[in-house]
Amino acid sequence: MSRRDKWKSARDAMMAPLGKTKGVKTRESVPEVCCGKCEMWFENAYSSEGRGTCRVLKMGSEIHSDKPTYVLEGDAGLISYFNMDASHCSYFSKMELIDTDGTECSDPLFRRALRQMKKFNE
Amino acid sequence: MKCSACAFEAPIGKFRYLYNARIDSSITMRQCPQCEQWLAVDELLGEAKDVVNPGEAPWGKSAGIEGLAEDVQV
Amino acid sequence: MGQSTARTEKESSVEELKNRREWWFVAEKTRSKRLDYLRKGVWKKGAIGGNYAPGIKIDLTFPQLFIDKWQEHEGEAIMLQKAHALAHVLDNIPIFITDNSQIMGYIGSAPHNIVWHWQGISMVNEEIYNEEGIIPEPEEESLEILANLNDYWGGRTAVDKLARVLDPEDAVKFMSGAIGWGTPTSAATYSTKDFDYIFKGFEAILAEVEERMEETEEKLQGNPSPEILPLYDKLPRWEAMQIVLEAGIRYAERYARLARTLAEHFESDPERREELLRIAETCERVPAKPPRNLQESLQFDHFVQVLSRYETFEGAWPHRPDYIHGPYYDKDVNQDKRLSKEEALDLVGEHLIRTHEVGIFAPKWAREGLQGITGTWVWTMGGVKPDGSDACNDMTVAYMQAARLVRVSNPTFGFRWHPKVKDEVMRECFECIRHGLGYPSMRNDPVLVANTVHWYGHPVEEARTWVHQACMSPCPTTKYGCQPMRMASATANCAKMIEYALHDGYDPVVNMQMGPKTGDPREFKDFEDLFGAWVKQMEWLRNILVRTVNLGRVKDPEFFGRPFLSAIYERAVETGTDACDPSNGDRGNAWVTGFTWVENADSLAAIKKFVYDEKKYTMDEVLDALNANWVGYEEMRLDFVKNAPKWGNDDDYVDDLMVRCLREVSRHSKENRCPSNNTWPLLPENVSGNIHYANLVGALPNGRRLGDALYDGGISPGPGLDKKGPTAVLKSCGKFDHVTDGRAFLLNQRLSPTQLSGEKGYQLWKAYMKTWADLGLDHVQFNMVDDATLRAAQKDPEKYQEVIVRVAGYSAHFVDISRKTQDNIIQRTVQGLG
Ligand code: SF4
Ligand SMILES: [Zn+2]
Repeated sequence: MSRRDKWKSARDAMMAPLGKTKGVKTRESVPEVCCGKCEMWFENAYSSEGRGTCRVLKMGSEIHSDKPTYVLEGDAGLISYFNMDASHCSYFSKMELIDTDGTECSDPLFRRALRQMKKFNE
Repeated sequence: MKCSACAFEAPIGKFRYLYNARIDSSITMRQCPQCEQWLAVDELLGEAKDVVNPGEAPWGKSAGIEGLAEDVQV
Repeated sequence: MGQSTARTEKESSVEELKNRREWWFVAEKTRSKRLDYLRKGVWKKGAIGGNYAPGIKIDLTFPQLFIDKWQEHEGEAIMLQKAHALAHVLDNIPIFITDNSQIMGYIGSAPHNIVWHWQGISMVNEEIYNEEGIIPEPEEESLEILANLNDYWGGRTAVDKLARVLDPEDAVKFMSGAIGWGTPTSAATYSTKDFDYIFKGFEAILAEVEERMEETEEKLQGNPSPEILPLYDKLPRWEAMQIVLEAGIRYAERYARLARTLAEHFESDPERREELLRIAETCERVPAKPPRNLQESLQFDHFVQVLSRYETFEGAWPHRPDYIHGPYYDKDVNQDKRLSKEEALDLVGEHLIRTHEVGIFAPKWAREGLQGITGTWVWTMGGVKPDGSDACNDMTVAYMQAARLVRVSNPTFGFRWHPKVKDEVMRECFECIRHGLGYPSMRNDPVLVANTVHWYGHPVEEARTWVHQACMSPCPTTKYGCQPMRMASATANCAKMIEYALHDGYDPVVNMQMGPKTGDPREFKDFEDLFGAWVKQMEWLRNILVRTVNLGRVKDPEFFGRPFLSAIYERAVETGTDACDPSNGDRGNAWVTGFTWVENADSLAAIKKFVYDEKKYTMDEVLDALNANWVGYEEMRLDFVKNAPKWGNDDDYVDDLMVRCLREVSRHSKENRCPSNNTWPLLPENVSGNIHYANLVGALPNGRRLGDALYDGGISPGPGLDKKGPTAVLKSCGKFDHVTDGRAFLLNQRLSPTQLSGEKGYQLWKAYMKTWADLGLDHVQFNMVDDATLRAAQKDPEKYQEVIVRVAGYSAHFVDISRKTQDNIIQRTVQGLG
């Protein structure tokens, strides 16, 4: 894969959800097992709309099908969203301490200050 | 390390690292994963010293002038 | 109790409060009833840490009004389409007049609402949807509206479009959040404004536009040639300017009508009735025609600021209000005696409050990086006139006095010090600092004028008109000097330079190969190898940011569009271009903001000394300790903190490295070019980015761990690490050239309020300022609040709402910043002077 193509797939994963019509329902759903509740999830600091990267899986991984593909080597982590269904991901590891306090500052490892996460935490 | 608030015990790394009290001191602030209290921790000894509430300063005072003005915590 | 006794009690208690230096209570007791009412009635728009204050809601009226017309005009030139939408908003957005208020205009449909600009970046739109606390009731209905809006704008915003054009590697790395922040679009930006031009009045500008259009139409009817082809695109742009200027006049007239209606039918107090009629007259006059008195000039100014912010998120407020309004103050107060000093002070105080009340939704990174405020609104005071003579006037003094009475954290002031500033004005500056405002920051005018000429070739007369474009960087307010779109996204998280040099370009925090592969440091044979790697990482980091921002700039007229800004930009009106189009004569005034800069010099010095000079530790040991985030290496970490040389102690070992780093960057600053083919110098400063980035920069050889606050910024030494006193700090900072080695350099100093009390305190400070000026430093700002107060405020925030601290290029109310930031400020060294 050329340099451009490699990064293009990462860029597309990052930008694609923005062009989709999602309505309220998709935006509100927080599955029981999702990336936002996983210890491996790292919230993006550039944007707080719930995007992040996985700290184990790399770009090219796919966790939605019954037979997920896991890529463990690469230049960039898998881009995922806090409310992305992770029930098929065997690397999911439940996070014990989830910090939903938005008055403290960015802490991508622990903080999940999204309104939807707060609901779930209460 | 043992939490001084709820007695939860785990290796120091399990306590969420918050930040240092001062870069030149070995006191840091960590959070207990069980009771979620903020603790002052001595990193040299690996011991939790106390719960730290807002307004409290585990490092005592600001750096700088001594005895010149009442800039220390009273 | 008789009236006279009551007054004595009030006065004596003010004296007591002054003795106790409880300036926030002094302000409350000494300001006029009007200012007290207005100050207490204002909604706090700055975030508390990363969250908005309770009660603040996102404005849903504005985007819905906008989209109605926007969709109706789909397919038209973007500037024209937007002008129609904006005009519709200005004609229909609910307006209100606050009791006791004399200055009109608000961005949003209710005083507790904040607006946002959905056309900028979809991620922010989605963030609003996910944000807790700001969704208006009934929540379900509001979420539905937001979801629909977001579905519409998804993929259509300026940054969404830009991301498709950018190199994909640049796009991903830029948006990783690790190396910089900001949005490369004028949807989140700020612009210099030339009030000499704007104060002609909108009608005069409209006449100019009309003339240009007629001329152009005539040419289009003439001989066909390639020259006339670009003219077709100019006409819709001029039309867009007309639409927004006319809408701006109508917006003011709506206030006039409301004020007149209130006066004639509702107001029973005769004094207030008079005021309302004066408001009506004022809003009938401006911005259509030039102002004639202080109220009109302040009102004109505020309308322009409000209209600009209906168009876009202006994250800063480049302004020189004492210079602009000084002549009107002089006319009203000194010559015509139309206003008493107290009445003028009420207007000036309200000008600060109305500005403070402006709030536009900012994404979380911006809220965290600018905790407690809504943008870096550093107003420029003092300085010189284009001929070099002193520009301070009565308005300079009035603003300083008003600031001490209303104690807002936004706007703050930057004072352009020069050798001819009168002692009485210096005393006013000092009083503000002594009252704990943290402002004005002190700027060295001769140095900064020279710097502005050096980096961009602005003519000296133009350079002398400079305003703070954001917190620090000067920008001329002239036809070709004005910067329509400063791109905050050219903000570098500089600590990554050393971090990447030590990790072969890999980012251990966000797990991405970011910088170039500069080699495994274990293989470096000497310090020069490490330094070479650092230079390569520095160049890479600057390049990616500058590339992104340059592209964002040239694409902005196509992706975003600025009808209103263009209408108040002389060069845009003249040429029928978008104000942000670099081809209309913009001379260039770009800079890269350098967050977390000093960590580089301190880290390099520690490695140079311990690994290469003394060979006390191997590179292996250092990297192991860093990879373990120093856990298990506490003794070694303390050694690195305490026994390695640290910047700010007049120690040549580390100071020379700092100078060397700056010179490398300066060289590279000339190689990077902006769209106007001008330079990109570095400007080290931090706002509260040192806290935002604390969990994004890994352990460093200066002894910090992942999670620790970074230094408070610019060229300020690490908190508690400047052990040799204030003169040593100044001397370190004076070792490089503040004209040629970078754009400007932020220096925070914390002083003791007890030591600086009374006349003796002023004299000590003045002597300090002399040393500062003699050493050629361009900036310094002060915190003068003691620990005991700060600790008490942390414990009992309700009681200390008006305690202000200097964070980094701005001030904030102490209770509005996160606990980590509060602690970081308390950690700073308190310097004793003399
Ligand atoms: S659930 Fe799987 S993909 Fe998601 S963050 Fe955890 S490990 Fe990564
Ligand atoms: Zn506990």
